[in-house]
Amino acid sequence: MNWRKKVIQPIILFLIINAGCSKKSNETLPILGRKDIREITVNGVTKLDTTYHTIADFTFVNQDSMTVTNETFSNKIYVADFFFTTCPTICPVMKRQMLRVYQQFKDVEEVMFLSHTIDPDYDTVALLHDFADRLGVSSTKWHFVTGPKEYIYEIGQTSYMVTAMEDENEPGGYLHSGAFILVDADRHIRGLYDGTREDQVDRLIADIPKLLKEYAQ
Amino acid sequence: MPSRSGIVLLLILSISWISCCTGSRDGESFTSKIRYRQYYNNGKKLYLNNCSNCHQEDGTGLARLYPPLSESDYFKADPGRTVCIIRHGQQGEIDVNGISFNQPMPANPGLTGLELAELMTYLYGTWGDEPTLFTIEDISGLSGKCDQEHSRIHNSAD
Repeated sequence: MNWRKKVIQPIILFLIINAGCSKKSNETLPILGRKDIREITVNGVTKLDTTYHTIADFTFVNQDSMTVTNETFSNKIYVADFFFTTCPTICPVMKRQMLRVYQQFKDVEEVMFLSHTIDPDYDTVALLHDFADRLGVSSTKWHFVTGPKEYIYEIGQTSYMVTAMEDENEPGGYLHSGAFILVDADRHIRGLYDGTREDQVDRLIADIPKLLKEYAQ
Repeated sequence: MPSRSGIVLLLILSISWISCCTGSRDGESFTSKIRYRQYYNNGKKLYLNNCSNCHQEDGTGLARLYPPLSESDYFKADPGRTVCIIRHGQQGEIDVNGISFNQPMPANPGLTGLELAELMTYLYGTWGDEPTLFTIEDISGLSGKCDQEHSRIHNSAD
């Protein structure tokens, strides 16, 4: 009888501990980035007010020569990344993965995509147009944007929290992060995923519906 | 103690097994089969490290951006051209299976003759019409003209 106790008890304990873990997949997505919590007084009542990290206002030009701003994405959730068309290493993988996400949500109007070029000198509007066209995507859903280089780098670093900079030692000449950033309709970052990894992009594909549900309520 | 006829039978069977089952189709030797396998396997590693980012692991390319190698008329038509493209890169519009592609392909100057031979063996062993062993001599022969052309262009640019 004794050996059965030794086996069964730990198993029961294990199951109890793990029962709490399975609930994670149904939770809402966290809001990422620095947050400021301040005490404010409203009508004599003091409470805590949280300000979350928000994507700054932006203005770019897309592959159709149209001006694209944060207004273009109002009431939408979108996935952003940083790339350049002649990138030989991670970008092709990122584009293929982003295309997967695009195909998945092609008919969902609330989901959009924003790719920024970090080589605006070479990646002209015409080139971006050709690139997007060859990838086979609609420009009203997936915007490929360009703008002043320093401005793009700055927004990448301060708003989207991803690195991008020129580096002559890197193949292609640029060192940049392969991250996909999931942004909600309030311009908060809700997820960061490595766009070169299929398992992480699978996670992004699973997370988008959770975010959509949040706004549907 | 096995009988004499038993031993003779075993000997006959062993000899016929060695000659039939260890690759003597078309006079191919056992060692050349091993060599093919080695080149093929090394070539596959080279492909995954240098080419699969764009051309994909299964060689199907990406949309109309990166051309396929699998079932590609352009690829099959001219192995010599393939060597040149791998070594020196390529720019400009090309037609693959009736679809136009126009994305620059970067050069791979760091690949040695042996590595090119291994890579080509893998490429055509996987997506060509039949498995072929490419040797270093084959590569020199195939790339001779475009290497000359390439250094001529570069020397005159200095």
